[in-house]
Amino acid sequence: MSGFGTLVFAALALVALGSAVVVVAARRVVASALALVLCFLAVAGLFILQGAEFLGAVQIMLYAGSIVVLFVFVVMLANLRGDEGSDWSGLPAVGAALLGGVVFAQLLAVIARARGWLAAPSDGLAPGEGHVQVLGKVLFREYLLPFEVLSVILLAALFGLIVIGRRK
Amino acid sequence: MVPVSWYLALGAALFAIGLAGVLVRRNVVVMLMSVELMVNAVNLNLVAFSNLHAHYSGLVIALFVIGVEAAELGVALAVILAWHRHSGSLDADAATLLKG
Repeated sequence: MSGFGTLVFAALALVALGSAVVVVAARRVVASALALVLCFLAVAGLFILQGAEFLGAVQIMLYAGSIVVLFVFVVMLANLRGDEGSDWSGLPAVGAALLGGVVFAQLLAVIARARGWLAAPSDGLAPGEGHVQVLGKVLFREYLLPFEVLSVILLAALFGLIVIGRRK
Repeated sequence: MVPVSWYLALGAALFAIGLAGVLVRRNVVVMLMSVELMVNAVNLNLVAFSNLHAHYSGLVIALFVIGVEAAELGVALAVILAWHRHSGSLDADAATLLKG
């Protein structure tokens, strides 16, 4: 079972990393959008692998579903077709790749230093009650106010994008 | 059970890729996609720590991140479309209206 979990993790991680590279490096914006779907699906799989099934479902519905549709809509409305170029050349690309590598190395160093602490035995997210049940209780008891604030934010965003998107 | 540190390492890698993408790409739509990659990396970390501590707060915060991200993205894409109508370009280097 443990070996199977590791195998699934390795496969999903490879898919996530590969599609992330395609998102960043593809010459066509549509290719980036499709790779983004793949990356979101792999991350959703990783959520489910960690026992966060509800978050995985939300990830698939919201990210892989509606957010990518938004991106594709913009690609369609802005009439982006064919080769937009990938910008991966010259000094800025080298600098950005270097900076990304440095950030990655630093984060890895921090993770390596905290490895003993991270290896502490974990009960995982497997309580007696159902996962969604507990999540709902936490969400609507401890986090009720942020939840309501989020709905106001979404409403404000809705009005905002209607106003911004309106043709003069 | 996969160690938590592997998830954190994967999150770090995704974050670095997204960071490089934001810095290099000049197409605003792809820049926004790279930001999405970084947000996903953060969500991965939140879920991993939620798992480590057997506590649901990380999951709830990840949910909030997804919600706020949806709102932000809607507005951002509307702004991008309005700007595209105005300037006919999606190149970030072409946005020089506020340049002195």
